Amino acid sequence: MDRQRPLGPLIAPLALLLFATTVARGEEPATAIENRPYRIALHLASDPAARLGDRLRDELVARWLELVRRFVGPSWSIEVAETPSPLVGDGLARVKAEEVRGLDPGVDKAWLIWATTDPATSDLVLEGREYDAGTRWLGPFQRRDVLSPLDAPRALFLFTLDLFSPSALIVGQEGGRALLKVQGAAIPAASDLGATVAEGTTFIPIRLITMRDESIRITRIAFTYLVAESVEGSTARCAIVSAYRDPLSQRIARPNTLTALGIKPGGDALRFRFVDRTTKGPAAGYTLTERPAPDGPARNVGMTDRSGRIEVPPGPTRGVVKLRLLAGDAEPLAEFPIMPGESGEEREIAVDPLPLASKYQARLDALRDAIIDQVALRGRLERLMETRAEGEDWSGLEALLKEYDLLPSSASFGEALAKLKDEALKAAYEATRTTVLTRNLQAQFDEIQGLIDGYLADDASRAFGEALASRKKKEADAAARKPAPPKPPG
Amino acid sequence: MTRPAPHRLAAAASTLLIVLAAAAASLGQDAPVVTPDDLLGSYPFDRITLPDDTVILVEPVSPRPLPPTEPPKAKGSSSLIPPTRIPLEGNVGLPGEPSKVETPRANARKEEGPDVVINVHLAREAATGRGDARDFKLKRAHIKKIEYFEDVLLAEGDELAKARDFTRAFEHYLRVQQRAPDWPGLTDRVHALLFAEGKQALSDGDVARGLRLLRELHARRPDYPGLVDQIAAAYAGRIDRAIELGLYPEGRRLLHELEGISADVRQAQELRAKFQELARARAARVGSGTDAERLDALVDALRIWPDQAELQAEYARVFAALPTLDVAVTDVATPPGPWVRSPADERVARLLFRPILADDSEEARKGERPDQLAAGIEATDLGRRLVVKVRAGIPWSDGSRDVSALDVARALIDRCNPRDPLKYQARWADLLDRARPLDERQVELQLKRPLLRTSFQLDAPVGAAHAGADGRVVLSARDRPLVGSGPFACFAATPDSIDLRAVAEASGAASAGALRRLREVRYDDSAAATAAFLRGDAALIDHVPPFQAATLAADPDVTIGTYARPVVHVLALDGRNPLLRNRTFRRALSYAIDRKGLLEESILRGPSTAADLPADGVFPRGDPADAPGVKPLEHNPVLAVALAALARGELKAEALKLKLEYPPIAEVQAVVPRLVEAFAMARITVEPVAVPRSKLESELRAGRRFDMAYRVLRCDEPVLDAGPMICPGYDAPPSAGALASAASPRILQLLLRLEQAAEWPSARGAAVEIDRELRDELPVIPLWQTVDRFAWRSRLKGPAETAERLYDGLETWEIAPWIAKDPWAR
Repeated sequence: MDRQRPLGPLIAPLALLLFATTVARGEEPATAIENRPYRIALHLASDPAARLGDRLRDELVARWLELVRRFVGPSWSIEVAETPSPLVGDGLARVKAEEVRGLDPGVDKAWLIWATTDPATSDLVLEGREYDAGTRWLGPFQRRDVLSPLDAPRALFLFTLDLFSPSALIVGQEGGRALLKVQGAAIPAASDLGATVAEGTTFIPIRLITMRDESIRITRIAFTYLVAESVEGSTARCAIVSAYRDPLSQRIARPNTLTALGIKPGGDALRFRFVDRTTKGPAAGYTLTERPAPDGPARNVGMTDRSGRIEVPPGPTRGVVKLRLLAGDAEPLAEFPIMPGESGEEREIAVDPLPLASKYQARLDALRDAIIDQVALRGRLERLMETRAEGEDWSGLEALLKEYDLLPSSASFGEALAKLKDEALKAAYEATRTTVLTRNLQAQFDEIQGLIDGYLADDASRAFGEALASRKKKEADAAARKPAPPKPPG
Repeated sequence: MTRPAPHRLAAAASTLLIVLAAAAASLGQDAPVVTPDDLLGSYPFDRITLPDDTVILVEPVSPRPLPPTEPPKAKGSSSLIPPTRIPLEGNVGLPGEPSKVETPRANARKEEGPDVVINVHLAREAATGRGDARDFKLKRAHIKKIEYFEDVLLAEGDELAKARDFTRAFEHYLRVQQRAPDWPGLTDRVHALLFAEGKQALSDGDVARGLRLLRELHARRPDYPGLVDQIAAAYAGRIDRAIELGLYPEGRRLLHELEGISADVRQAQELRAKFQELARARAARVGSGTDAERLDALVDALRIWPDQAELQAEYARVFAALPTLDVAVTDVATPPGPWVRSPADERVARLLFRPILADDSEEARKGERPDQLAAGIEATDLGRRLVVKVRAGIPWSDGSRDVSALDVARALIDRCNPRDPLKYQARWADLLDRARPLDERQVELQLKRPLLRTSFQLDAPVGAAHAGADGRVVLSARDRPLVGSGPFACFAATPDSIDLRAVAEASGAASAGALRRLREVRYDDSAAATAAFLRGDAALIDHVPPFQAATLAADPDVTIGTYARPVVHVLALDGRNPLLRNRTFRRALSYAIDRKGLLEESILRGPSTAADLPADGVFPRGDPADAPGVKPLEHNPVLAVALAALARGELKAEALKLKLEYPPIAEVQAVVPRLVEAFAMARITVEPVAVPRSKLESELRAGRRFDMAYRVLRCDEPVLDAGPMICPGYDAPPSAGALASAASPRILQLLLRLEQAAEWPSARGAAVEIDRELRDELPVIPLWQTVDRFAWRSRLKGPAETAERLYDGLETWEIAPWIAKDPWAR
C-alpha cells in the first residue's frame, strides 16, 4: 500500500509549532518562513579565569552586535540574555538537549557561549553550542581560540557564524534531490558572509510526527545528510547523502512532516563502538576508513580496539564523510555518512563480521599474489625470449622456453579459482547466519578470473615456440637439400 | 819477446779509454749521467768515475765488492812481465816430457784478474760509433772511484731515514738485503732504522707499532745503545695507561713482556710494585665492610694482581661466606619490578617475586609447589569463577608483613589499569570481570570466559600492595628498596648490573657452596659478554651465539647448555606505517631475503641442520601449531625488485625507506648488514639501528611505533604466545593503538578470535590457521629458527644441560671461588 501523502497537509504540525512561537512574539502568523528572521538569544557567560568583567563583556557584545549588523543584517534578530543560562559553563560539552530549560519560548535559537581560557596557553577561548527551539536539537560543541583580546569581537562573530545553523522545511524531492525552504533565506544579507544558506551548507533531516495524543515526536533521520548543491531564491536544492535507500520516505503511518536543520563540523572526536550483530560481542580489530562524501579518496582512520571502540578525530574534511568498516583490507561490513565532530557521544553500531567471507577473501588474496608473481616472471621471460629471437640466439630461446614451461600453467590457476568458488558456494548454502558470497567477494572472483584470462595467456610463448620450430624445420630442410657427397669410386 | 804483450795491453787500454771517454761524452750529450730517480724500480747499476771525472753507469761489476787493487810497483821494475825463473835442474826437458819453460803469456793472463782489470757492460747503449758494443775491459788503475749499486741504495736509504720516510728507507735496505745479505754496513743501518722508526712511532703516539719495532731490534741486537731504556719507557707509559683505564690483564701482559726484555730494568720493578700496591689498596677499600663489599674488593684486587697469596686466602674465606655467581648478559632488567616486559625481566622475575601459580601441573594447582603463592585453586561456574587460596607465612622482603589476598587481588587488578603501562596486560584486562579478596587468605576472580591455561595468566609476578607503582617502598629519600617475595631480593639495580641476594629464609638450609648472591652484569654486545666469560669474570653466560658454540664447547673448562625451546628470528613490521601496511611491499621484503644462505653464512657459519633451519612462520618447526604443507618462503630477487617497484607505484612513494631496529646479539649483528644489503638489491633503503634488547622489547610491547624490528622469539605455547609474537604491542594499553600495528588485519582478526577460544581443540585449530595464513599475509617476515644455548664454567655446579629458563634449579646450584690466572703464571 502506498502511504505517500502530499506534503502540504503534513506541514500542519510544523505550522503549529511555528504558530506558537509567532503568537508568542505577537507577529502575524502569515509571515512566510523564508521571510522570517531568526530570533536568537545569546547566553554569554565567562570563567573568572578569563577576566571578562561586566564592562568588558558589554563592550565585547556591543562591538559584536555591530559586526552582526554590518555583515549579517536583519536575518539575525539578537537578544542578549541578561542572566545567562546556568547550563553555560565547564560542562557544556556534556549537556543533553533534554536538560535545556527555562529559555524564552519566543526565540528560535539560543547560543550558549562560555568564555574561558586555554590551560596550556592561557589564551581566551570561546566554547559553545546552539540550541534550536523548534526541533529541540542541541548542536555540536564548537570551540574557537581568541588570539588577542583586541580581536575578541571578531572572534566572537566568527564563532557565532560557526554556531549558527539555518532551519528549513523539506518541501519536496526532485531528481533525487531534496528541496528545502530555508528560514530567512529571502531576507537580503548584509554581505556574503551573512548568507543564511549557501552552496555546501549541510542539513540533517528531522521528522516531526504527530502522535495519537496530538503531541509531536521529533526524530532525527539517522546517518542522513542534505548537502546544498544550489540555492535558488529561498529554496536550496540538496544532495541526499544517506546510509539508507529512501531516507525521506513518506511511508509513515502517522501524519508527519520533514524539517531540516543546518549542521557544522565541531571539534569533538566521533566515538563509535562496533559490535557483532549476532553475539553482541565487540567487533575488534576491524579497519575504519573515511572518505569525503560522496566519493572522495579514502583515508585510513584506524582500527577498532578490543572492545570494538574507535575514535574518529576531526580530519581534513570539513564536510560530510563516509565511514567504512572493513574486515581484512577489503570486505566492507558497514558504510555510513557522518559529520565529523557532530557529537562526542558514543554510538553503538551492530555489524555482521562476515567471518566466512573474510576467510575466502584471504584465500583469494593469496591466489591473486601467486598470479601476480606469475605475471611478473612470465613477463620477464617473454622479454628475454624476444631479445633472443631478435638476436637469432635459437639455443638461448629454447632454454628460456624450457624455463617457461616449468612455470605453473594458467589452467592450474583457473582450477584453483574454480575450486575456491565451489567451496564458497557450498559454504554459502550451508551458512545461515552470515553472508558468504558478498557482492565484494563475487567481484573479487570475477576480477581474478579476468587476471587469469588477461595476463596468463600462453600466446607469447606459443609464438616463440612456433618461431623456433619453424627455424628448426628450415635448418632441417636446408640440410636435406644439400647435395649428398659423391660416392667413393668403386 | 816479452814486450809485445804489454804493448798490446796498453794499446787496448788506451783504446778502451778513448771509447769510454767518447761514450761518456756522448752520454753526457744525450742525457746527464745521474742516478735513476727510482732506485727501487731501476735495473741495478754501478757508478764508475774515471780519472777525468767522467762518470759512467755500468751493469753491476763482479765480483762484489771488487778486490783491492795491486799496489803500484816501483819505477825500476815497471815491466808487467816478471823475470823468467829457471829451475835449478834446467828448463830443458827430456824427450816425452812437457816443457819446463815458463812463458810470459801465462803470467800475463794472471795479470788480467779483477784486481787489475775488470769487464764492464755499459748500463745503456752509448753513441760510440762502434755499433751496439757495450762490453769493455777497464783497468782498475784507471778507475778513480767505483760506487756499487748497494752503496747507492744504502746512501739513498740513509737520506730517506733522515727525512723520516722510514718505509721507503726500509725498502731500499730491503733491496740491498735481497741482492747481498752480507753487504757491509747493511745490518747497522737496519738496526739504526728500526731504532729511529720505533722512537718516532712512540713519539707520534703509535705506541704499539713503536714497541713492536723496538722489540724487533731487541731481538736482533739486545745491546743496541739506549734501546732497553727506550723500550722500558714506552712500556711503562702503556702500562700506566692500562692501569688508568682499569685494563689490568692488559697491563700485566705488557709488564710480562717488559720483564721478558729485561727483568732488571727499573721501570719493570716499579710497575710490578705499583700493581701490587694497587691491589692491596683496593682490597683494603671495603666500604661498610660487609661480606659482599669485602668480596668485591678482593675480587677487584685479585683481578688487578692475582698472584698474592694472602689476598687469595682471604678471598676464598670470604667467598665461602657469600658464594656469588656472576652472569654475563647483554641486557638487564631496567628497572626490575613486578612485571615482565622483556627477556631480562623474564629471567629475574621468578627470583624476586613468587607467582600465584608456578606452572600448570596438578601439583601446583593443589598448592604443593613451594615456589608459588597459591595454596590451592578452586574453579567453579565452568571455570569462570576462581578462588585462589594464598599460602600463609611468605614474608615480603622488607619484613613488614606476609603476602596476603590483598596483594594478590591488587596485582591482578593493576594488570587491568591502562594508566599503568608497566603492568597492563590487554588480554587479562579483557578477561577479568572482577577480583576481590574474600578474606585475608582467599581471592575470588570472576572471569568473562574460562582460562585455557590457568598458569598462563597466574604466573605473572605479584608485587606488594603496600609498595608503590614501581614495586618499591620509601624508607628514606635515597633508599627505596624493591619489595619482593621470591628467594632473592634486589640489592642494587643499575642500567649495567643487577645484584640479587638470597633472602635468609630461602637459604637457611642450603649447602656450603649454594648461591647467596647473583649478579647479572650487562655488556654492550655478545662479543664483550663472551670475552668476559672467557676471561673468567663471569661463570655463566645467558646466550652463546650459534657460530661460537663449537669453539666454546672445545674448552674443557666450559659446558654448553641448551634451552628447551628453539628461538625463531623474525622481522616485526609496524602496520601503522602505510608502507608496511602495503601487502605488495611486504612480499617484496620477503622475496628479497635468501634465508638459507644467510642462515648458513652468517648465523651458523656452517650447514643448516634439522634444528637450525629457515622459518616459514613464527611457530617452531614440529610445534603442534606449525601448519603442515606450508610452502617455504622463497628467495627471488627478480620478484623482490618487481614487487618493490609495484609497491612504490601503489603508494606513490619516491623512495622506499625504513629503519630496522635490532638487538646487539652477536648473530643478529652479523646478519643485519647482509639483510640491509639484500633489501638494497631490491631498491629498498633500510637504515639499521642497534637498540639494547630489553629496551627494544619493552618499548615494542608498550606499543611504541617502529618500522621494522628484529626480534628473537621463544614460543612456550603457540596458542597463548601467538599474539605478542606476531604483533609486539598486542598487550599494550588501548591508548597506544598498538593493535593497528598488526600489518595484516586478517591475521589480527584471527588472533582476536583465537583469544576468545574457550577450549583447546578450537584454539589449536585457530593457531594452525594463523600459521597457514601467515605465510601469505606476512604480518611479520619469518627468517629462521635456531637452537638457543647458554654456557657455564666448571666452577659452577648444577645447571642442567637442557633448561626451560636460564635459572632453572638455581636453588641447587653451587659455585667455587676462582680467580683467573695469567697464562704465563699457570
